[in-house]
Parts: sequence; C-alpha cells; structure tokens
Amino acid sequence: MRPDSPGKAAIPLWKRRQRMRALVRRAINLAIALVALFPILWGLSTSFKTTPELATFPPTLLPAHPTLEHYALLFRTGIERYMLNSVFLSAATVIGCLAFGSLAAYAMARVKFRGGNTLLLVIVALMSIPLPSLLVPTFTFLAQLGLLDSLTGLALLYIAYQLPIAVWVLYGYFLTIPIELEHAARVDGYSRFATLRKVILPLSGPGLVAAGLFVVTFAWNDFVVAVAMTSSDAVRTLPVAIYGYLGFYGREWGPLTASAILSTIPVIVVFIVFQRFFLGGMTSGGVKS
Amino acid sequence: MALPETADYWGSRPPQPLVMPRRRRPLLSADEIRAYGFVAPLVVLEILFVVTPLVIGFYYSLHRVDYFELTSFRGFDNYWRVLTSPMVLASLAATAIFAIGALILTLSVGLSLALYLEQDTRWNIFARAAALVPYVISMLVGSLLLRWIFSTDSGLVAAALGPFGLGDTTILADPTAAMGALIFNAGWRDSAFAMILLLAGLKSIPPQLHAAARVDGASAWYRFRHVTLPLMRIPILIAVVRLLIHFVNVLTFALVLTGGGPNGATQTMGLAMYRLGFLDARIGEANALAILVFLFNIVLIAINVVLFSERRRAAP
Amino acid sequence: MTTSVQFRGVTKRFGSAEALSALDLKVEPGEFVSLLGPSGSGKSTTLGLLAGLIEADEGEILIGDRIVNDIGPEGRDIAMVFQNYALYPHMTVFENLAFPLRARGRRRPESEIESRIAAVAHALGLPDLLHRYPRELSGGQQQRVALGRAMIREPKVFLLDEPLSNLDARLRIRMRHDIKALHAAIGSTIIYVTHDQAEALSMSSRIAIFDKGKLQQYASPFEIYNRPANIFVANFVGERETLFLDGAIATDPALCFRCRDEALAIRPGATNLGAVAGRPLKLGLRTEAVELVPADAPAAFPVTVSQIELAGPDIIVYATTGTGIELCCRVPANRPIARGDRLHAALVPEALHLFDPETGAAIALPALENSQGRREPAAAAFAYKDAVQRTA
Ligand SMILES: Nc1ncnc2c1ncn2[C@@H]1O[C@H](COP(=O)(O)OP(=O)(O)OP(=O)(O)O)[C@@H](O)[C@H]1O
Ligand SMILES: [Mg+2]
Repeated sequence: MRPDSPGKAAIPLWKRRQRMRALVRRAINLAIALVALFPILWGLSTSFKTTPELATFPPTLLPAHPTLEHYALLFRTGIERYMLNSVFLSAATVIGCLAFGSLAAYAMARVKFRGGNTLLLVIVALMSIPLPSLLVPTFTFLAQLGLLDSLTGLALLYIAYQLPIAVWVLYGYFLTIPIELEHAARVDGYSRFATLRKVILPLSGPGLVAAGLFVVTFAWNDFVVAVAMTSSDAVRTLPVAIYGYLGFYGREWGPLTASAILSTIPVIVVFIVFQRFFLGGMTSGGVKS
Repeated sequence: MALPETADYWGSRPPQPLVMPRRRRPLLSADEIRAYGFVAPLVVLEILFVVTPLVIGFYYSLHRVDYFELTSFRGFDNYWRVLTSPMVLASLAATAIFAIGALILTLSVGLSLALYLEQDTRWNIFARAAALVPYVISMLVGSLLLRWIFSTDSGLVAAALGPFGLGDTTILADPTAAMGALIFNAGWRDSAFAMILLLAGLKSIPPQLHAAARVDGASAWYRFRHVTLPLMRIPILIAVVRLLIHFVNVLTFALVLTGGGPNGATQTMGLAMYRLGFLDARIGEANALAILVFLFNIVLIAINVVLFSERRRAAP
Repeated sequence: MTTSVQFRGVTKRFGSAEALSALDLKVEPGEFVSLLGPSGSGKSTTLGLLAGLIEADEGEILIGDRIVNDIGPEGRDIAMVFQNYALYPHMTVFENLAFPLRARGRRRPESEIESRIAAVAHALGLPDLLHRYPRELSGGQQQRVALGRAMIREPKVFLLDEPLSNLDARLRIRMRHDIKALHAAIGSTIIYVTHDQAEALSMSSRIAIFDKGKLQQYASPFEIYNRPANIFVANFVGERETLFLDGAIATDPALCFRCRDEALAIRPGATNLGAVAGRPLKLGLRTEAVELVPADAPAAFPVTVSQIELAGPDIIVYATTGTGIELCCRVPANRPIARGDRLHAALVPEALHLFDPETGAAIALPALENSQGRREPAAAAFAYKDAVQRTA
C-alpha cells in the first residue's frame, strides 16, 4: 500500500490500474454476450419491422415503426396449433422421462445388481448416439409399427432418446442424498418403491428440475426427429412448422423471424429462471450436443 | 438384568457349533429382482427404439426396397452403391472439411472462453449464460436466424463489407464462403457446449497447484502449458470426441442454413442420408449409409465411454 | 417386547475384502450390547446385516427364533438410530415421528399416532418442537428426535450406530445416561455401536470387541477390562496405551519379570504367577499394574521420574528403569513428586496381563489353591494399592 507520488490524483496508481483492468474485462464480457446474442436480437428486431422497412438498405438496427403484423399473420394461419402440439409432446416427454428415469436411476444409485455398472456405461454410450444417424432406420421401423405420423410415436421416441440423460442426471443427484436417510426409511418399514416416493423424490427437487430441463428443451426444440417421423398438419410441431414456413414464405423474413422468436422465447425464459440447474446438470457430465 | 453365565473363563469364545452353518445368498435376491423391475422401462424403451431400428435398418440395407416393400435380397450391394455414389463421396469430403473446421473453431473458442471465464464473478456468470443461449435454443431456429443474417436480403453483409469494396458478396452462394458460414454456425452454437465441458475440467484442478506455480515464479503461459494442459487432457479429449460425433452427424445446420448448396458444396453426410431416405425414398441405400455411419460412430462412442471411465477412475 | 438376536457364522465380503468373518454372537432378550472397535473393524457392517440393509454372504441371522436373512429391513421390526440422525429434512419433527407409524403394513390410525407422538415427545422433552423442521433444531434436539423416531414403534430390537459421536462431550455424557434410562424403562434389546470405550464400558451389559472384521472378545465390561482375551483387547481398552514387554516370569531369587537384562520385581500377591515361570510371554502393563513403593519394601526396583502429567485428582508418573523401560503409574496428586526424583516401584501381580507372544492370546493362570483373591483380583489389587499409598 505505497502511496503514489505526491501531487498526483488522490487515487493511487495501482488502484487506477486495477479499475482499468476490471473495466476492460467487463467490456470483453459484454462483447462475448453480444456476439452470442446478436443473431437472436437481430431476429427479434426484424420480427417487429414493417415489410417495407425490411427491404431498406442499409438495414435499420431497430424497427422504425414497430408492428405485430408478422405475429398476427402467424396466429391467423394457426401457429398456435403447432405450439400446442409441441407443448403436449414436451409435457409427455418430461413426465415419461422423469417417471421411468427416477426408477432406473434409483435402482442404479442404490441397489447393487448384476449388470449395474455395465448399464451405466451403456447409458453413457446411449447419450452420445447422434440422432441423425438413427433417423432412417427408425423411420423404417416406425412405419412397420404403424406409429409414423403420430404424436404417440413421437413421444415414445423422445422418451427413449432422453431417458439416458434423465437417468444420468438423476443418478448423479441421488448419489448426493445421504444413504442414511434411505436406510432410516427402510428400517421404518418402507419398501424400496415407497422410500423412493416418500423420501428420495421429495428431496430431489434440483435433480428433477435439471433432468426435466434437458428433456423439455429437447422436446420443444427437436426438429430432425419430428420432421422425419411426421408429415400431416395435425401432428406438426412448432420447429417443423417453422421449417415449413421457410419453404412457404421463402424470403419473407418478417413471419420467419417472428416464428423463430416464438419458439425461442419460452426456452430463454426457462433458461433464465433455471440457469443454476442447467449448469449444475451440464457440469455433471450429462450434456448432449 | 442378570448377566448370562459364560462357561468359558475369558468369556470370549462363543460355543463353536460342530458344523458351520452355511447360508449362501440365493442366485438373485429379492432386492436384485426389484432393481431389474426398476430399470425395465429404460431397458425396454432403449431396446425398442434404439436397438431394434438399427437391427431392422441393417436388414433393410441388405435388400432392394421399393416404398417399404422388400422386393429382393441384394446382399451388400446397397453398401457398394452407397460407397461408390458420387453424391455420398462428395458428402464425405464436405463432412470432413466441415467437421475439422468446426472442431478447431469450437474447441479453440470454447477453451478460450473457459479459461477467460473460469472465475465465478457476476460478470463472468453473465457472459457464460449469454454464450450458452445459442446452445439452448432450437438448432433449427439458430440456423434460421443465421441464414437471415448471411442472406443478401438482410443487407447486413453488404453493409458490413461495403466499406471494403466487397458490398456484393453473396456468402451463401459461394462454395467456400458457404462452408465458412456453416462452420461459423457450428462455432456459434457449440462453443459454449465445449466451454462447459472444459470448465468442469478446469474447476477440478486444485487451485493450490496454480498458487504453487505462481509462487515459484511461473508465467501465465508456462502455467497453462505445464499445469493446466496436462491436467485437462481427458476433459479436452472428451470434448473433442463429443464434438466430433456431433459434427459428423449433424444435419440441421446444413439443411437450414445452406440447404446443402451451393451445388452440394455443403451437403454433409447427415444431410445426404436424409436426402437419400426421405426425399429420394431409397430406403435400402439410406439404411446402408446409416449403418456405415453408425459403425463409424460406434468407434467414437467407444472412445467416449473409455474416456468417461478413465475420468471416473481419476476422480470418482 | 423384547427378543434375542443371533449371528451364526455370518460372513460379509465387499469385493474380495472380508468386512466380517464368520461372526458368532448371541444377544439375549433385553440385553444392552455394545459393539466396540476401531474404525473399519466391521461394527456398522454387523448392524447393517442385522437391520437388513446389507445382505450376508454366508451364515444365518436370527431375530428371536426366526431366520431373517431373506427378509428386507421393512419386515424385520427393528428400529435404528444413525450417527448423523438421518432425520427426513423435508418433514417436521411431528412427521418424522409419525413416519414409521404410517408405513404400509403397520399403519396406525391417526388418533393413535397423535397420542403416541405426544407420549414420546413428552418423554424426550420435545413437545414444543413438533412443528419445526430438523434444520431448525440443535444437535442435541435432533438426536432426541432420532431416538424418538426409533422408540415410537416400540420395536423389539433397537440398533444405535454411534448415536452420540456428533454431540459435544458434556451432552454426550448426559445422553448416555438418558439412553440407559430408556433401556431400563422399555426393556428392548439394544445393540449399540461405538468406538468410544467409555460409552461401552458405562452402558453395556456385554461388550463385543471387533478388530479387522473378527470378534475378539464378547464379555461383560468388567471382564473386558480386567481379563482381556488378547493383546488387541488389552491395548484397545484402557485410557492410555498398554505397555507390552517381552520376557518371562522368574521366581529366583524372588518373584520378578525378567526383561532386557532387568528384573522387575513383583510384589507378593494372591496369584499363581510362579506356575508360568520361565515361559516366554508378553506382559501387558496398564497404569494400575505399577505402583510406587518405599525403598525398603520387600519387592522394589529403582526408577527415575521422567515426566509428570496431571489427570484429574491424580497424577500420572512416567518413570524410567535402569535399562530405559518407561513405566507409567497413577498416584494421588498431593504426593510431592518432581521430575528427576529417584524412587522405587513394584509390579502389582493381580493387575498383570500375560499373553502368548506367538498368538497374542491371554494366558490363563492355573487356579491358586486356597485362594480367596481370585474372584476379584482387581479389587484386591486396588485394596493393596491404597494401603501402599497410605504408607508411602
Ligand atoms: N459399501 C461398502 N463397500 C465396500 N467396502 C465397505 C462398504 N462398507 C464397509 N466397507 C468396508 O468394510 C469394513 C468394515 O466397515 P464398517 O463400516 O463395518 O466399519 P466400522 O467398524 O463401522 O467403522 P467406523 O467406526 O469407521 O464406522 C471396512 O474396511 C470398510 O472399508
Ligand atoms: Mg461405522
């Protein structure tokens, strides 16, 4: 804490340097955020511009006369039906994954059974199977089952695809719950299943949320599986509908960006609210590209 | 309470039974049976929707298929056709360029971000969260938004490059630039994914190691080379393998951003397979290609599993 | 409401390591048995096997006369208190206490649950805490709730796994007392795991001492302390380390223990030490086996005081013999002793523990004819000790 040479400003040099460095760091952090968010912000701005404004050059940064016309157009043509399909699928997938996932994760975390360790490795392998490589065979198989082009078939696929991650995240979480609580419940007269329901699950809020987040964002966002397995309008999900708009509206970027924003907003809201759980789940290794 | 009499003076040796009673565990305990019941839904679903399709896909890949009708057995003919098809070969080349480019970009940006944002300060947490947004939103939507930015319609590229006399560049119409845009799309979306994987590795390095190296007068670069990198070997390898699996197979980027164009320059393997199966309806060949790609994936997945076990062994 | 518990040749392996080897142990109805041993000796494993939380690899486990090997913990009608209490954090004290009474198969009507909780809460001084969550309780209160949750079902067998080790020293002594009172009141069979010998010695009707998965000795606290079955037990029990010396008893010219070219004189007493004279053995010495005697006593050897420690009303004197053996004895604090003093000491025959140097097992002395001292050797030793100290 050596004072600076007399006569200079009251703030010592080292302190000014420190502040300077902090400012630079903040500027860099802001730049990182801006690069990451720019396409979304630009899309957001575009979706509020009037159609004539979209054609001006050089492009305007913010809409001069903000309008909801593109959103109105989407809702006039029934985008809410696709959104509802996506909501339904997301809910079904979350419920299925958490129910089956907690059963399996509990058995793997708490019961010693032959094949348990192998199952863990199989789950790691399953988590890294890239979905695009499964599309054609799965399509072939679903066609035989008669489950093509149905929300049920899609939900079953989503559950199967996301179960490994759900199991993985829940497994990690269950391991952090003190084993004595489980022992206490067993000695108190509760079966394995009742212990899971009455003691383990009520204490697994964060784990369930983290697993649920992975599953729900997948189901809400998925495009490749849905576009491959469905074709009729009645079972179209939001991402497939957006892809359809790309063909239909072509270069009309107003409705296109508006639909993109409609798909993105729920995800970002969920992400902001549950950010902590997202990162917790991701750093535990349960991440899928 | 009266103490029971111990016959033995030292009271230590309980009476030894003549024959040691033996009760071995039954082959499957009740608990084990219950555990199998608990994992049954998982196992059944995975077998049904992951394993079975692959088996059926393999079966189909050996046949001539006309609109889902197996018309004749072809042996490995489909494989031969696929491997000699110019479209598939071109897509292999495109995939290689894309995967390597995207891997280099994603990994270097991800590692830089992880190192730069390692400390849990508020501004760093904010930047990390922002960087993750492209990863959490729909891949389709992300590519769509980038397509809008790169398209000539938006005027953004022209406005940005105009001052350099490149005002009429059409990125998505130029093979090289389109591939660049595709790689950029991958980097924009997945760098944060790499960052998260690497951050987890960074955080598991004991801070004392860095402190000790600093006290010993090691420079930042020296510490990175000799402390961070060696300890990050497995996390980096895991990130490489997982990104590679993803980039080799992904089809959304190309389908939405470039549509595989111009002239097939950005048609990666995932997209080729999709074309073959869903647009050309050549189910037999599409399944053959899927099986081939899957065999390649199996290698990467196996490496991933080995790395995973190794990391668990290092830090259980 | 009490029952016996029995292990018959029970073995438990984790991987290839045997956590418990061929355990034979019988606990009579209403007994209070402590399982005592160092960390990793298999105490918790024993308890877990009995509770059904761990499955035995070999052998039979009986509760009453029922073999329970293939019955899960929920079917064994036992209660358990855990070291970290294992209170359900998402339930209030009331719900924690009610939990065992709401289990399927032994569900009680809500009115009965309430009256039982009221009774248990009263007995343990918890009535004001019923609507708090575990995190809002002090360690001692949590401990009581854990006890209450175990009591409430009136189980036939109570298992406690180091229930007091997370409490501070004073509270621990009070809870020790409370648990003993509880045992007296309900009369259930109690099996109590601890690695605190003071707890085991003060509470139990019998103590089972474990080391490396093997039962070393199973006897009353008095026996354990005064007649340790082997070197391990002798060393493990006692407030400070037991000193072991290799040598042999000699009777020529007087009774003494020969070791490292030195003869440590043993004062006369009511034991038959002469019977094992000449046999190589290991001698175990606790503080009460050495005493300071006047220089002209019939049996004495010179020592030099090397260190003094205050221990409550007594002082512990460390004294070195001519060849450098460091002995240790206890004398009243009012005796003026200082470092460097040259004094005389003798070994107390009744307090000596003899072990086979090969096997480590205790060597039993043949009975002494016309002896009365044999029944309570320690009492005799203490009486003599007092007499010596008064004269010194
Ligand atoms: N689940 C397990 N898996 C593998 N080894 C175990 C397991 N539980 C216990 N062990 C091993 O079995 C041995 C006995 O353990 P146990 O828990 O019974 O010891 P303890 O006497 O209760 O010790 P402590 O006083 O530390 O509680 C130890 O060596 C321990 O490492
Ligand atoms: Mg223990």
